[in-house]
Amino acid sequence: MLCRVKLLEVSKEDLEVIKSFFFDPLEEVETGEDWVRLRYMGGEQCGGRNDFGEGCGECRYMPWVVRKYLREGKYSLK
Amino acid sequence: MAKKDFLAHLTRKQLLELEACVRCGACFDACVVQEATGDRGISPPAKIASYRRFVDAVHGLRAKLLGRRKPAEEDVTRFLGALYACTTCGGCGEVCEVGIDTQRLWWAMRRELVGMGYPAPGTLPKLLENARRHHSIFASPLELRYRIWLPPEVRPAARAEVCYFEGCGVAWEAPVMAEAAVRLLSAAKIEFTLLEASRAWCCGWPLAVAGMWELQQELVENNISALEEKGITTLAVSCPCCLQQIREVWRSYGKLPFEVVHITQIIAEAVEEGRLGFTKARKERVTYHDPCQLTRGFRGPRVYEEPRTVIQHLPGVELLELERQGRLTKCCGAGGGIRGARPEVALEIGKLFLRDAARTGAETLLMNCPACYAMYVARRLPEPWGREWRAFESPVKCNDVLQYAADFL
Repeated sequence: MLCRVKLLEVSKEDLEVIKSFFFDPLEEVETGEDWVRLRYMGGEQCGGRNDFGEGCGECRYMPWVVRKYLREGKYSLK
Repeated sequence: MAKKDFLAHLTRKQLLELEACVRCGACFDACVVQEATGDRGISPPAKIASYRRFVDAVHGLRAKLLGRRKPAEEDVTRFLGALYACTTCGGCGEVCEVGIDTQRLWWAMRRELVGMGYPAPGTLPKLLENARRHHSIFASPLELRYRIWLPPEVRPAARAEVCYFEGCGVAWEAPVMAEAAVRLLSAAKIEFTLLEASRAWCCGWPLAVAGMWELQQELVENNISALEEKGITTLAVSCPCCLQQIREVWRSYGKLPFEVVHITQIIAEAVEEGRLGFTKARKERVTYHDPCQLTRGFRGPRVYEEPRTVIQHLPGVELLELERQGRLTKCCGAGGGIRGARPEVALEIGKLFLRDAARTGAETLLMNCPACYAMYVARRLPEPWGREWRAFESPVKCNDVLQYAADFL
């Protein structure tokens, strides 16, 4: 699965951490003032349910610092 | 040519090993690179024979009588290609009929050639550049590491007998491994501490294995002194490469004032003693891949039973074994810097490995190493091979063994 979720309302501190994690040029992280669009993991693009059948909020591929935003619904799949 | 070229970092035993290879080919079947490429020119006996020729040309009898002859650049370049088309998994050494410790031999050869001024190929020199700046092989500040994976509800102690050291590979390539590890430690009520983020430097393994030794002493001494200051008795690591490095290289800097174990050893003990239980159930068939550095290449007990103990205690889960396991485990193709040096070879190994996993009948392949995780879960390979790798379909899902177990809490 390739995650292309856009995290919204990301705090400055978390933005710094998330950017440091998604450092790989392959992952082409896009960032704005308070958002970050991830591009992470392999395979086809995930439509909101990963290959374990989990929704974004439970996604076991994502570290806690990302999952926090997913669980709070602060994300967009567009 | 310098007086010690090709010899400076080889031990006497390794010089004998160069002579000892009888080219029997027993290692061919153990080598994942051979399986993926079939190229005998990069096989273990071919590498040993090439290196022996270099040594003879510079230090042999003929060199003594007629003068030293510098090996042709194109021969050295071709040899370098073969030397780095290797995961240094040590599988060849496990089956070697004459007992050559091939893994150490490849490391020594790489160190020797880098020392002679031949740069490690591909993206490997970037690791050293990062380590010079950040004390880790990743281009990210160490201070951020725990903010990536340490969940807020898990509170490490300021001081404890056990120190958990996730390793930079886990922090930046597989942070969910660390998150799962500390969740399980907390669930088992095992008090643990962490090193201060800025003092938890790279263990040195990825640089050593790539032949780049210039920072070794600095990295190792910092880590040992930071751990000594913590006054711990046990260091629990998540990364098998850290485990090997600590057991083999750190020890060469003196006696360590703590015991080093793999995190699955601690978790398995807690499971067996009933201090950690799993309440959820899920009917699933899984298989488990032994990471190379947990089952061979170091002194001390192999970590073989413990991950299986954890899996066997997960309600509803059936463990199906891969054909090759334990000390004969197949390398997943992510080790030894091969993803950076020869990604096209890593890609082919990866495809074969997933086919092996599918043949077991398992739905999920459980791994226990951040390099395996990066390769199989994150599917990280340099482009254009990464694109092909990400598009490669397999019926088998991949996951970290402790993350998988943490879902049963």
